[in-house]
Amino acid sequence: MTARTDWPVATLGPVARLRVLGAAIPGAVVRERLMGAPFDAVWGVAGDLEHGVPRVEPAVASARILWRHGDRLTLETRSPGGMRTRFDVELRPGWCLMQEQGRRYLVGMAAEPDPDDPGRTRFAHLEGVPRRLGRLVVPLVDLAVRNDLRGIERLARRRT
Amino acid sequence: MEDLLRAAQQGDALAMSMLLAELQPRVGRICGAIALGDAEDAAQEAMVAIFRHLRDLREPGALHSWVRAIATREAVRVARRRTAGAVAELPEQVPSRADAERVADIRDLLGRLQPEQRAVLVLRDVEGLEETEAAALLGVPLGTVKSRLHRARRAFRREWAR
Repeated sequence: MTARTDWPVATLGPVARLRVLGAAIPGAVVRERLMGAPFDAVWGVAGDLEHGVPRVEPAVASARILWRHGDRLTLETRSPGGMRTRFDVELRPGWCLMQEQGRRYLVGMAAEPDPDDPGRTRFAHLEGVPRRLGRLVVPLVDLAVRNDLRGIERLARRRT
Repeated sequence: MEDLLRAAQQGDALAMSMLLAELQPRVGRICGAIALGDAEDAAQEAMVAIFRHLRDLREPGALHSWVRAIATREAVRVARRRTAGAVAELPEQVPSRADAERVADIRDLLGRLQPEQRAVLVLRDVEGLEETEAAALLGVPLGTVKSRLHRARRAFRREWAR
C-alpha cells in the first residue's frame, strides 16, 4: 500500500518555532504580543536590523550588517558606551534569530499575520543568556523583552 | 546532518533552528495524521520534547527513528486529551463498510479511528515500519498492531478504491 499525498500534515509557523527554541534553551525568555498593526508594518520595524533595532533596543546605539549571503548575515552592534558585539543571524520575512558569536546572548523574533484579522500581527520575541546560569538573569531579560515588544508595536503603528 | 545534530546538541541555536526545519516534515506528517485538529499543538509539543532531550541522543544514526517515536507518542497523547476516558481499543468505532463508502476524504476517515489506530496506520503506511517495529515503538503486543491495522486498512482500501 502506498501513501497518498493528501494525508493531513501539521506545519509549524515562525511563532511556534520560536516557542520551541524558547522552551528548549536554558535561560531563554519568550513573550508574545498580538500587535495592532499589519505584518508588513511590524516586520518593517523588526526585520530592519540596521535601522529598526537601534530604535527599539536601548542597549543598541547602532547596528551594521558586515556580511550577507541569502538568509544568513553577520551583524555588528555598538552599545551606547561603544562596545561592539557581533551576531550570526538567520533572517527572513517573519523570522530572525541572532546568536552572539561567543554564544553569550541570543535574540529571536517571529511574526505572522493574525488569521482572524489581517490588521493585526502575532509577534514573539526571545532573548536570553543561553547557558544554565542564564536562568539567574531571566527576570531582567523578561523586562527587556516586554519593553522591546511595546517599542516594536509603537513604531509599527506609526507606519500604518 | 550529523554535523548539524552535533552543533545543535552543543547548544548552537542557529543549528537548532536548521535542525528544526529539517525535522518538521516528518513531525508534521506524523502529528497531522494522528492528532488531526490538534496537529499543530502536537507538533509543537513533540518538537519541544525533541529539543529538550536532544543531548540524550548518543547515536546520530538513530535521529530519525528517535524523532518518529517522540512525535508518535506526543501526537497520541495530545489526541487522547480530546477523547479522555475512552478506552484504547474500540473496534466498533472503526468505520463500517457503509460509513467508509460515504467518506469524502482521508481526514474524515482518520477522524473515525482512535488515535492509537491512526498511529499504527501512519507508522506502517506513511513511515514504512514493519508491524513488529510499530508494536515496539507503541509498546503494545504485535497482535494489537495487526488488529488495529487490519481494520483501519480495510476502511482505507475501500475509500482509496473509489
